[in-house]
Amino acid sequence: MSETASMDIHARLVECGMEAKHAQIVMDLATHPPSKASEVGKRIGISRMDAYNSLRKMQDMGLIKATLDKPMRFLGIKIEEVFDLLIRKSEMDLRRMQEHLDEMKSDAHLALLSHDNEHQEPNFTVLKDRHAIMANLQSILSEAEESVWMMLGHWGIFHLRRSVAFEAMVEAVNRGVVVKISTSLNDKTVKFFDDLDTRIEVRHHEDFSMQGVYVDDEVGLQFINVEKTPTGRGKNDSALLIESKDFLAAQLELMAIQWGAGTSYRAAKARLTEGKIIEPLRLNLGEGSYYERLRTSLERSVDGSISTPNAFLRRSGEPVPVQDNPQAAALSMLGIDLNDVLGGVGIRIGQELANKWGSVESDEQFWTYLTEEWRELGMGEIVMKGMPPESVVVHNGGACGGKPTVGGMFCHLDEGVLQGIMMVRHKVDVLSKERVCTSDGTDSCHFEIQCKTEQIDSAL
Amino acid sequence: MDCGTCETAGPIQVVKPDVVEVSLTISDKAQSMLADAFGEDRSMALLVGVLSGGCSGYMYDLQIIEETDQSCQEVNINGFRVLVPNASSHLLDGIEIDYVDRLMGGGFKINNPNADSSCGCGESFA
Repeated sequence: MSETASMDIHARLVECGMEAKHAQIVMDLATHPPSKASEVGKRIGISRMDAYNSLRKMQDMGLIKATLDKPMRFLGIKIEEVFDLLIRKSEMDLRRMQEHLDEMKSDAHLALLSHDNEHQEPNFTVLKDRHAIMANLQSILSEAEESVWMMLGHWGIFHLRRSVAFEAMVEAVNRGVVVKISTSLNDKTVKFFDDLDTRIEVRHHEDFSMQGVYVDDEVGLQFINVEKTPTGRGKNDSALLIESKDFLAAQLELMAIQWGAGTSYRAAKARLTEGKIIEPLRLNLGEGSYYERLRTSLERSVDGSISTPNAFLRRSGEPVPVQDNPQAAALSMLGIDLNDVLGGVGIRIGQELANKWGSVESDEQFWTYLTEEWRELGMGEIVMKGMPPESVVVHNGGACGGKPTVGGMFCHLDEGVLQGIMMVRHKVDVLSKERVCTSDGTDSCHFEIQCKTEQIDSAL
Repeated sequence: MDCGTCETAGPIQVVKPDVVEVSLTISDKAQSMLADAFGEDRSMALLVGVLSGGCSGYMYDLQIIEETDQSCQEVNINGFRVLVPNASSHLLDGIEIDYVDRLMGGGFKINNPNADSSCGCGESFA
């Protein structure tokens, strides 16, 4: 038996309620011939007397056998038999407990001994050991009536799927309970979420580490300590079981805000598995009252004698378009700067490009790929200073198609692309931008972005 | 008001308007837009005229032309050759050629001190 397998079985025995020392003895005798107490003690590192006492205790429980010779030698039983014994013992214990409960329920005198602890005061309980925590979770999920808000951090889905609470959650969904899950998705957990019932809504949050659940507005369970190893047994996990309407109301309010800022599961998965960014692009379109701007522009229009066009411009009988970009002009009248809009779109494209080549470890190689693609797309010649770049200059980008007064906003798109790349690849933002344009009378154009040297805090 | 076509009506009198010496201005914004429309070639001229149409009489017509058969007055404003037909001179004297931005698309706007009134839609005058 390999050491890993041995440790795994030992962990499972402990998880089933066996003392760690007894589990060690089970493992030892399973792999050795009949042994004296002193030999067992020596092998597992305990005193002869300690070994003897433990062996006799285990013998009484039927977990090991002993020979009749002197000195007595002890021999193990098959490990699967040990598990069978533990299960049978637990079943007997359960039956006995059920009988006691039934008798107490039917006996009025026994019932009088219990103080009625049903009250509305806020209360909490500290739970230890993931098994105990999950058993409680199963219990509160079974009683869910309207909504369940689960927080599964980075690895919580592992624990949930392996626990009795998972079925309780599925049953809650089938009862019509609305179940929402907040998590921090990663490439190892995606498949578990893929398997979930489609009625369960999942949202992704960067660096979300909370684990717990809020059921209706009555009871919450929050993990305080979770083993760092995702596949661990959670022996040292601890959690608070809280019953407080005020607490739940406050927590649910926070969760609603968090939920709103989250990314849909579909978008988060696309980013993880395909390197695509598909969530809606959120842009800031400037401050101020758009209603006031609309009113202003309409007032000027309806007051016909002041500002309504009343003349056609023609050449050879054909109308001459005098405004190359009426849409841009209209947006400008409403205070929306298309340069900012395209800059924001460019950032998004840059982030996606950086994700696409995220697997390229070398920054030099990354920029070589980018420079080549940039050139192939006819977007100009990239020249960089430093690595990570302190500045990036693009010569003759020609984004405006030779008409800077009309197409100058596309220059902002290209700048945004580089900015997005810098943010994702190097975790730095852009410090300043400089632009030399043919509209200023120069023969060629270029723009330069200066990058910050300090990394930005949050990963994108 | 008599339309002049009934039996009771008197003979129609045709009044030929006087030709006046025209002065006009072009706003900076309009000059900028005309510059885009003209391009580098300033040998062309801008012919300003009035058109039938609109709900209340006339609208203005701006044409970029090389030459015209009409009898015109020529005014030079910052390098732009502007032609005004003599027949319309009494209507166009004192106008300002402007350009206005609108939410639904901008255009040229003639501000005319000779216009008695403007129609509701603002696209013509009488």
